[in-house]
Amino acid sequence: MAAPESGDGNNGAARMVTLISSDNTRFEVEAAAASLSQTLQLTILDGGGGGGDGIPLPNVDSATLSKVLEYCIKHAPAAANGGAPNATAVDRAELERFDNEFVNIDQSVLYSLIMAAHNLEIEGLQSLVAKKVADMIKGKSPMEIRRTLGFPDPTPEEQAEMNAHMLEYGWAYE
Amino acid sequence: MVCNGPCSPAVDDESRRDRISNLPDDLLLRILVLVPLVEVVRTSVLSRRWVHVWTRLPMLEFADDEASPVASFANLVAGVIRGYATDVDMPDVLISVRGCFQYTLDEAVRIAASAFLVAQRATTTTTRFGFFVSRHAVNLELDETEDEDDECIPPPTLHMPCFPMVTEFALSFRGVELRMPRTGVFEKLTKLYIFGVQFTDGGDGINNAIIRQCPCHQDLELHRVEGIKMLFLLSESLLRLRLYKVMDLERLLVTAKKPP
Repeated sequence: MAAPESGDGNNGAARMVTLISSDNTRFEVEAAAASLSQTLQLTILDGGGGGGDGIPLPNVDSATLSKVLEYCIKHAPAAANGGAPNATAVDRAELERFDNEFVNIDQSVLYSLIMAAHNLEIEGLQSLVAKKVADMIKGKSPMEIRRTLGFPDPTPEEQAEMNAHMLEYGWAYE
Repeated sequence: MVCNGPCSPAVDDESRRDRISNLPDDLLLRILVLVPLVEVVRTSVLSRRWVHVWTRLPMLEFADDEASPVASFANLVAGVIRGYATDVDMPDVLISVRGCFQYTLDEAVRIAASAFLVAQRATTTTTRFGFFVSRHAVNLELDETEDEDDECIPPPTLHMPCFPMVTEFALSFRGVELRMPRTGVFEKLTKLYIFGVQFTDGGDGINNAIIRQCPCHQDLELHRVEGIKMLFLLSESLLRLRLYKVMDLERLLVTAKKPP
């Protein structure tokens, strides 16, 4: 295990923890990265997840966990700096570029990430994915939203309900 | 709204199929607070799943200069407040009227009256209620240059109802006469901020409200308010009083309990 360059209160070596996905894949990751999750932070502070133990995450599959950890590893240094007040503009631009690229994903992956970010209470990731979906909805008519989000075509019955609803809610459409 | 063939060409494509609708309500709401209010209300026609989602938004922020305009801002405000779920606390209701020179004072008063419908909700708490009219939304400049006009056209009257369940209330509205409610109790009100209005009762309405109607009121701020001649504030709970440019004030008497 490589020692970090500067003392960060961990006595020289970056502490590692093991996370176990719902399909039993083990991920070894720096405690600082995993601690972006409020849920995991307490367990890790209590000394959990080290050695052969591992922390089981029954709600997160390996594909999603791998994606979540990619986010955590990228954001951990800035988070350790207390939101990185002294980060350079280049660092911030790089994180922004990473974030934009990171959420450029299929809706099924996006859905899994939203659920995982919620279950693991990763504040930054929750905001990022919420903003991504909001951007998919913003500035669009309901019909355009249905197309963007990939709704199935409404049945004639549903369509009739929607038309009736739009009449009732005329004040929102006129 | 008619959907013919080309609406959803990629529905069969698994990766593009809607999953967002499967999210639990609280997560959908976390997303929807980032979308302008009118557009959120319009999500109610997406499908049966979405009909009621918007009615539990944790924040209602109305702005008349939003990108998706409606024909009547007053009707929108009234409709949203009427349609909002009756079993949920409304944490914040903020209404801004900012559109440039778009309203007469009377129209702005009607919007305020719609907004005050929230006062009729007596079962759930509204944490903060704010109604702000920008001075550019109603054409006040003209009135100010023509002093004689001010004399002969009385300002429109805005009746403030009692807000039994609002904890903080802010009103910023120049050029109207505000009448305080004579009855009812502001059970939960702790902060009252009033900017720009005129009173014709010399201050009685405010005095009465503080003395008799606001049992836990702590913070009063009056800013650029006209027509208050006497403030007689007798309150067990009042902790903070701020008066700015209350130019007509002749007498001020405050009797408040010493804070512990």
